[in-house]
Parts: sequence; structure tokens; C-alpha cells
Amino acid sequence: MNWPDLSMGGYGFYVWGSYIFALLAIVWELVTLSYRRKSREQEKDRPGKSYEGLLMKRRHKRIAFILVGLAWTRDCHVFGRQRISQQPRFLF
Amino acid sequence: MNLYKYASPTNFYPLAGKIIPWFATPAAILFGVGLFVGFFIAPPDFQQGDAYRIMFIHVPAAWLGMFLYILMAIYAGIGWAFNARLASMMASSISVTGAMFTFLSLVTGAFWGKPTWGTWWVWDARMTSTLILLFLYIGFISLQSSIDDPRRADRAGAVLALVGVINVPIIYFSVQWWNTLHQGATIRILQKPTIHGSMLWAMLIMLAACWLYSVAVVLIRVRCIIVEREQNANRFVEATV
Repeated sequence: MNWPDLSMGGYGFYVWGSYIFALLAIVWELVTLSYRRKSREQEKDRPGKSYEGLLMKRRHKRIAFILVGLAWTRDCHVFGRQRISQQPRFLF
Repeated sequence: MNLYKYASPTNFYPLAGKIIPWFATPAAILFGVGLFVGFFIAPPDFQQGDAYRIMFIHVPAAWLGMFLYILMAIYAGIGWAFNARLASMMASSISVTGAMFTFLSLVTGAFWGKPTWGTWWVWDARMTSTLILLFLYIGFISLQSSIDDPRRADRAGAVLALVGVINVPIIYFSVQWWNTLHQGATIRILQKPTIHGSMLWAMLIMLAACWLYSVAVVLIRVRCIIVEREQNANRFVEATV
């Protein structure tokens, strides 16, 4: 086993500099990734945000829209009939 | 066992979570072993002294920078050709780690170049083509980030990645095609390596460590991308309802 001196035969700045830089790059990548992962996991675990839930919500909204639409057309029809039926009474 | 089901991001997400420790733990162990062999067992070089020990991080970083680009282009191409969402996500995930390793190879190369060549940087064929590789990585990441629609971003990125693949053989053969300051290949597949066995082992162990690290990090990142894109899909659904 060789025990290298820390000065690396006068090349310590270059050898340790490159390894420190490599360590910093790896640490930077891991820290940013960890931060990103944590924030995404928190978002993912938030209740009421599941994809399936939203699809169900959209389905319910669609059904509700159809029902409201049907009711609206019926109201218009009734309103129209009322107006038609009421107009002569109001005018005459 | 139907492996095709893991092409779906939803099925791949839990699988990736399970296999990450199988790559991350050996990577940490091999980093330790590689550095031990490189610093305590490998002897000093007869010409460069201890300065050559930069090789144990420089060479794996350079190889991975090139290899990850090819892998990224393959995934991007598959994503583009077959409309495979997970493949495009993998390409996005690989790009950051590949850029990091390419940048690392340039910086450690500069640290190695100063004591051996007397200069931090020279517009050498190998170094210039590696710098272009870094720009291609940055271009891929920037292009994908600048387009809001992920599918369009994937397609645009795939074009850039596939066109940029031509740079990888240029980097590899640049030391043979042009007269450069950079030394030729020390390790060849069909020939005996020209370096001491302990140096070779240290480098190969560090290469394996970097490779395992890359797989682990790419899998962690692709899980984040899957969640992000699902959320974007949710927002789209919310906006349309």
C-alpha cells in the first residue's frame, strides 16, 4: 500500500481541486434532486389532486352540465309557454 | 412476466422506486473502493507523478458524458418514433446527469492539463468537441424547458439529440483524426491496456461507480418528471372542465 502525501508531489492543488470539484458537482446534483423530489412528493400527496379524482370530477361536471342544460331548455320552454299564455292576458 | 407494462409511467414509477437503492448503495461502496485503490494502491506515474490520479475521475466522467448522450438520443428517438412517453421522460432525465459529467470532464481535464501541458485550456480537437457536447446537452435542456407542451418539447428535443449524436464519434476518434495535445486511447477493447493493472482497476471501479450513480440519479429524476407531468396533465384537465 502506498501512502500518498497530501501535497501529491507538488500537484496537490490540481489533484485535490479536481476531486473537490467533482464532489461539489455530485453534491449539487443530489441536493437539487432531493429538493425537487421532496417538493413533487408533497404535491403528489396532496389530497384531492389525484388524476382519477379529477377525471371523476370532470365526469360529474359533464353530467351536471347536461342536467342543467336540460333543465334550462325545459325552463325556456315553460317560460315561453307562460309568456305566450300570459301575453294575451296582460295585453288584453 | 409482461415487461411492456413498465413502458407506462404509472407502472414504472413504483418499480423505479424499488430499484434505486440497488444502484445507489453499490455506487457509494464502489466510489469508496475506487478512491482507495486509486490513492493508496496505484503507484505514482513515472512521468506525471501523482498528477495522473485526476484520471480516476476525469476518464469515467468523459466516458459517461459521451455514453449518456448516446443513451439520451436513443431514448429520445424511441419516444419520438413510437410516441412512448416514458422514453422521452428518460431522455429528459438523462440529459442533466450527462451534462454534469461532461462539465466535470472538462473541468477535471483543465485541472490535469495545467500541470502536464502548461495550460488550462487549448482549442484542441478533443476538448473543443467535448465542449460542443456540453453545448448540445445545454441546448437539449433549454429547448425542452422553453416549450410548455411536454410532447412538443420531447419532439423538438429528440431532433436535437439525434442530430447531435454525430458529435460523439467525432469526440472519440478526434485524437486519431487530428494532431492534438490530448493523448490517445489508453484502453482499447481488442488490445492490452498500456497502464499498470492497479491504475486500470481503480479507473474501472470508478467507472462502475459513476455508472451506477448515474442510473440511480436518472431513476430518481424520472420519478420526479413523471409526477410533474401527471400534475401538468391534471392542471390541463382542471382547465378544461
